[in-house]
Amino acid sequence: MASLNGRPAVDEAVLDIQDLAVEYRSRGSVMRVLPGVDLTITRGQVVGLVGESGSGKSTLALAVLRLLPANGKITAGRIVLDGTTDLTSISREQLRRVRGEKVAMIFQDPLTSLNPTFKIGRQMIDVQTAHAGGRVRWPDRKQFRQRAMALLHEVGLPDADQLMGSYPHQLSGGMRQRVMTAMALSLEPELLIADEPTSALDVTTEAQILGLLRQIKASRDLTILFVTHDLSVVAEICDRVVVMYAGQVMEQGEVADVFREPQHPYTSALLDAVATRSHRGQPLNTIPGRVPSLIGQIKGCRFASRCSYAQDVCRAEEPRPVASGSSEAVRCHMRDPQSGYEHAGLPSAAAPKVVPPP
Amino acid sequence: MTTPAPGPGGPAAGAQPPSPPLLRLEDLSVTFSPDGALARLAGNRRGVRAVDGVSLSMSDAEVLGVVGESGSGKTTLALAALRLQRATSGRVRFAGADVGGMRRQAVRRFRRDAVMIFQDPHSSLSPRMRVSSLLREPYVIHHIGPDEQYPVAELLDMVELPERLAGSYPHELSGGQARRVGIARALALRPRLIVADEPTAGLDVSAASAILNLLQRLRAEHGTGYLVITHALNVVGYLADRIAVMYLGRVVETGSAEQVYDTPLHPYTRALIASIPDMDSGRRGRQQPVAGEIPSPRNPPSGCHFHPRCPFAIERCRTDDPVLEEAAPGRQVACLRWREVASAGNPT
Amino acid sequence: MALLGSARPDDGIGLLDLDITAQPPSTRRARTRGAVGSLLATPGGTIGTVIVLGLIVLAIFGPELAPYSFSAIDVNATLQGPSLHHLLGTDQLGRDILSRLIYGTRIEMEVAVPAVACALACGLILGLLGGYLGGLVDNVVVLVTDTFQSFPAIILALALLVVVGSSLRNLVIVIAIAFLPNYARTSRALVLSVKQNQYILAERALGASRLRIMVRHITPNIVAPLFILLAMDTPSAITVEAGLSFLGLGVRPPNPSWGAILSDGFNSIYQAPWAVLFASLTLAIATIGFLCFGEALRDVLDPRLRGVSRWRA
Repeated sequence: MASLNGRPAVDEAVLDIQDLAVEYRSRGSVMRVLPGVDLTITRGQVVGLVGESGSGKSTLALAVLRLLPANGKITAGRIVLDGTTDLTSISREQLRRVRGEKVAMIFQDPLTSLNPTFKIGRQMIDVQTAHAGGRVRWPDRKQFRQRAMALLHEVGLPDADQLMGSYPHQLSGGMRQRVMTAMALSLEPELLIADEPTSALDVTTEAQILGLLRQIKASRDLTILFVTHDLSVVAEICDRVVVMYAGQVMEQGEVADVFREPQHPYTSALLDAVATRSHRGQPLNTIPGRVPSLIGQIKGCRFASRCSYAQDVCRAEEPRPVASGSSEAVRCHMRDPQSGYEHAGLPSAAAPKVVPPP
Repeated sequence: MTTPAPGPGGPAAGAQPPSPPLLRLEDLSVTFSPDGALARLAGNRRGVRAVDGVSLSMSDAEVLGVVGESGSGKTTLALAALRLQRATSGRVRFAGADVGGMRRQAVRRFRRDAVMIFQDPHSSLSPRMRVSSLLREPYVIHHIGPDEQYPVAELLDMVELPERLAGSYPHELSGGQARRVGIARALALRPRLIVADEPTAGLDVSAASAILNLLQRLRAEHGTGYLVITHALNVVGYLADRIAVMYLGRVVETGSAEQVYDTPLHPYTRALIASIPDMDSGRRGRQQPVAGEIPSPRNPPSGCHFHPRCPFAIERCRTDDPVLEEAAPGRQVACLRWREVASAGNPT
Repeated sequence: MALLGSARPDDGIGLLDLDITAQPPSTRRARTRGAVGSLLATPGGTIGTVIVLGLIVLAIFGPELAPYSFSAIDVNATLQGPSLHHLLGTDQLGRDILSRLIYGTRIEMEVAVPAVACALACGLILGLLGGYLGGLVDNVVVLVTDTFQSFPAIILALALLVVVGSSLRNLVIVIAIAFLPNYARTSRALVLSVKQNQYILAERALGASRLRIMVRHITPNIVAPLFILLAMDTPSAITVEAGLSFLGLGVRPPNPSWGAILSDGFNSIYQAPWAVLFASLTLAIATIGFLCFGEALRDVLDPRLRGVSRWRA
């Protein structure tokens, strides 16, 4: 079970991302994927980071552990862990200790995340060995093996013994995902970052894995950052939701609140666009246009080109995050009483549950 | 057969013999045998039975959704229906004609009338051909008018793509754009049947909805029939008139979309429906409707393939292969205990 | 973005939308410029391209550039070393070595390049037939290819030449046959791999005939490696020809194939090693040039085959 050595108080922020900027370089052009993102994750929460492709959600997740690809770089900002450590500025050695021991990550496709040439048991023991520091003696190895088997059991895999001797390709997708989760938990991290962990799974398996995550979150008092494009998964498992578009956080808040009364036009358009059975016979709502190019500066609100409520002020100035309705932070001129947005003449039927500014 | 018996959910028997269904699969099986031709001849039953005795039928202008998770054999089924994969046994009839026995001329005609939209949009477009050439392919292949201007611009317009994309190569297109090119190409010769393999796989929410809108619109305009293969229940919920649920190569249930959703008769269907994430109800936490995972098609469980995971399973389920029986007009289910399942009610 | 799986959702981000490259990459001019640029990007590539171009120029304009005719005999100036009159010296008949080497370039180009090109064309056809049609046809192709390949190239060429007699045309044919199996095998392997791609299935689904698929869809996707092989094999073909000429089975005297120059010069290697020295040097430079060019060509063609990597956030 989770050890409680020196853990800070309950409602302290586990992760505080301040003004994080990330760039990618390719062939001479620079893509500002994240211009300056602010995000706080409180202990014990499951935060859903949701967005479509090009939203920067994966980049953000990878940046936390500095796992960006070679042409990516954190150019500004801080990522503060436990209120004490700035992950952007610590040494490689210190980072190595953070990875796995404080913050662990699971990925979308376990087949490519697990080493195909090593047995499961070997990989699980390796994780612990790598973090043991110093020489690892036989009794330690035995202990590691016991731990690995206990972890496999915890994630709902029977026959842990046989599993330890199997190769990744011999397991099904759901089982691999469970193994990866077990590996991530081996060093008792306090934060688990899950990058689209169920996107490649069948829907019945997805339900199981989500159940598993809920269970370990409860039993270990784990904080989870769940990156996904699937709003329904967020609705199911997350406490808070952070909606990203083109590299910026557009809306943040409690899941129930945001989904019931979305404050940002993008959030509400996204919620509307989900195709379900209840839409039979009518055309589905879609979001016209395309994600803007992230090369060079973008003037004004990033969503303005596709927003049905856009006005001149939206194209000229970038909106600042304000609290609106029951959402904690919304980046939209329409919700900002000081923005100069003209509210007169808004089509009331179309307005997404508009809460008139005070 | 002289008078085609009405297939499941097909036109009701009337005074005159109804026109043959658009597509009819009769006890179709596709077995992949690793041992080669000799072993197959010897009746070797080892090997993967990707499709195991499937019988389905669909009418003109109908949308039949074939639903199943990985290992269900639905893609193999689609390929076999279009004669792109050799069937081990059984028959495929297109508008009454036996597809397997067709000669070259008839096959060419068949390929104009029954087309496929592939799951991975990029890999199904020849990488060294520009979009305009790709769109011309159907016309050139079937020797249709070099004199007329090939309606590339029209096709692009039909799928809502800007004309400037005509000179692009597939790798320069986004996933959604490539998918639309595939759709445009499939529709070029106004086919009667489109087989769509995971039409929204890998697409963002908005893009997926846009594709579904497009498919719906084109169907209304051209009266094409769709065979939609997918694991996404929301897609069939939106598009399909009728649904067939597959598990490990077998059809376990068929019926209209309404019926299957509201009163699933097969335990697997019931589990699938229960697994659909539901945002509207605000309900937190899906129950885990079914334990375990889909077994490998290489080694399916005996009797009813679903029995190890089935909450309704009894001893007979392990030994007897369930047969697809008609539970109600237009409804079929392959389960010994479907009545109990029906009375257990909707899990959601 | 190497670690992203295939199920990652995507749309709206095509290259044209993001304007990653300065101009749409598909204009022919831009691509050619890009290709030439890539060829010259590395020192090896530059060297290779320069040498190959130089050889081509020499082959075309040789006779104008050479100071003397290749058969101009001057009995007063035999076996001389490099001098102002004869930059690379003279051979045993007083013929200018430099001029003979320059004329020889044309012969090498006339023999080696058509031979390898022929091998490519025929090998491609065999590979297509065997690889795509499979079955009996494939068995035959493989059998023929393996049989021919089991002979060392020079032995095979030798044997055939003895039978049909050595003329320029026969030389080309014989060398082509010697190189054919490699192209047939390579192209067959490529066809087998390309055949698995889904776009081939898509074309079959559209009703394309097998011929159309082989010509229009498979061939363009496999020629690139074959051309690279061509560039790399040309010096081998030159060497084979030189060897044959050295053995007296190549071009007839006084035609100055490099092999013939080597052969002639061999007799007087102790008194006047110039012919051997310079002919060998020329052969070496040509070989290096083609190999470097071939590698640069591979760098140009390969990334294009894979397409530009896609942006994901």
